[in-house]
Amino acid sequence: MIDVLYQTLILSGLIIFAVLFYLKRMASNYLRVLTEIIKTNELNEYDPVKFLENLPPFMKKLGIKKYSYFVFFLDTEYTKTENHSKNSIKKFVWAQDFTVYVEISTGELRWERSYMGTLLVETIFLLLKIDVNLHLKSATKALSEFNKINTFLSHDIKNLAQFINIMEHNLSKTVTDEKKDKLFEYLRSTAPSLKLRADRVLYSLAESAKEYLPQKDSVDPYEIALDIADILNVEIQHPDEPMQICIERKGLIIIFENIIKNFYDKSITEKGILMKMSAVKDDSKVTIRMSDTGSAIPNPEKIFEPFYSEKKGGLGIGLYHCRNIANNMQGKLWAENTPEGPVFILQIKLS
Amino acid sequence: MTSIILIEDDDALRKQLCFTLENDYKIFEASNSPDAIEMLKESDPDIAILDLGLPPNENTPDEGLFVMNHILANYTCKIIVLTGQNTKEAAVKSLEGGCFDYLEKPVNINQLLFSIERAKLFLETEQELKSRGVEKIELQVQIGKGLQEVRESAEKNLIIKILNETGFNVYKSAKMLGVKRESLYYFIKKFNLVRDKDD
Repeated sequence: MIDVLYQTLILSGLIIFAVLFYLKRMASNYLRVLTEIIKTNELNEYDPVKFLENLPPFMKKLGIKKYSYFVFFLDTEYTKTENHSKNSIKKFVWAQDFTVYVEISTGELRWERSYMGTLLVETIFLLLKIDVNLHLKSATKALSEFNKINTFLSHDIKNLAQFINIMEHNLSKTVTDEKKDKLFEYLRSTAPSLKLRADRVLYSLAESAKEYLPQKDSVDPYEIALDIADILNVEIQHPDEPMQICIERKGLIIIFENIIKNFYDKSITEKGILMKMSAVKDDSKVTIRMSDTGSAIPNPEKIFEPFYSEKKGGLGIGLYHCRNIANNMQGKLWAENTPEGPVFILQIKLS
Repeated sequence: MTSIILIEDDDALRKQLCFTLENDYKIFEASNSPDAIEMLKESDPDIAILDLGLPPNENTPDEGLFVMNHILANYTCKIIVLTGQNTKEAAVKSLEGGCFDYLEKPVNINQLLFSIERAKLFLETEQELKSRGVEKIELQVQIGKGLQEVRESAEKNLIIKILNETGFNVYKSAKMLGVKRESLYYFIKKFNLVRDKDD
């Protein structure tokens, strides 16, 4: 009796061991393939289309003969159809701008296979859903940034085109010396603003701030700031003494133009605000402070983030470029709110 | 001399426009909306050439539309929108608001000059009609709908205008229109005219 019991126990133990061994092997096999699928998705830079293209060998490894999908996003759709059995496993999501549908037939639906099949469908579905959403978000962001740049550039470029058109007309109609002198005077007085606008278009298109830092020059920062203020018709309070520093002139012009233009824009809505400028030089660096008496900057660090703007329709690239330029000039540019008002501080190392 | 205000934030472009026009017109200039409002007060021009993309929001038509609405509410000058804003919304809002012409940059200068000439002609004709006691009546009926509707719209607009001018005084209005009070009551009923709530 005891012998039979032992035998039964041993046999049961062997059966349990065999089942556990089978399940462990199957589970580890599935887990390995699922990990490979996840890694493949990562290697394909979360591209849902490439992911789907690379899926067949994994399905083969798992013994899945029939699988289908339908993925729709950004007005493109990818489909693979199959005639599935009744007990296929499927999952789908339908949203306003994307659809993901995955269906798998696992063949004989033994409970463990059905469980693993569900796990596979869930994994593929989740990966596809994440990939599609990532693509949608990045495409939407890219399109919005492209539209912003387009709007920004088209404003300045259309103005330049209109200027050339009218200037051509004026040149063709100008006959008397008096008229010629007047046209020349208009052109002379507005050339700096035209140059400023053209430079703005160019640095909006520039990939790197380094393009604008050809060489160092001996400059007076007050003089540069006052020239820009003159073009924009704003006043800047500054100390009387002149100052000479050896610095990349063009970089300084772009930074000052951005800060002064921001002040000009602010002065339209905040009447009567004043701008002050000071520069302090020691042996190793120059610190330039440009402050105004207007309202505080809500987030003095966020304004340097690319494509972030507090102005309606603003491109949000100006201050981002300025910080890049300052970094390339071996310096720093930042903003602070003080009790007297916000201040932009530019600190540049002097060699 | 016909006066024109140039509301344009691009100095170089504004000066070139000045040069083109200053021989034949009296020119006033403004580069942003507060300056434009101030300059309008001083100059009361006949024509306004208005850029919609004005600082601080050069990339949206908001500032320009604000100036346009200010002009429409306070002045009788003709507005020619000359803008780089290529949104359909800006064009629709400008035309709905009542601008005289909508030109998109870059425009051929002759087209702009032609538009100014047309605006001038309209102004002169309106002034002439005004001197003869004829006020401008807005017709908002499509020609295709037939003359009956055009006539009714003109009648309705005229009656509304006179009633508003007299503070809905039927006696005075009938006298001004040269009709009997009963006839005016008939029109008020026909067009379903009611006095504004705040009257």
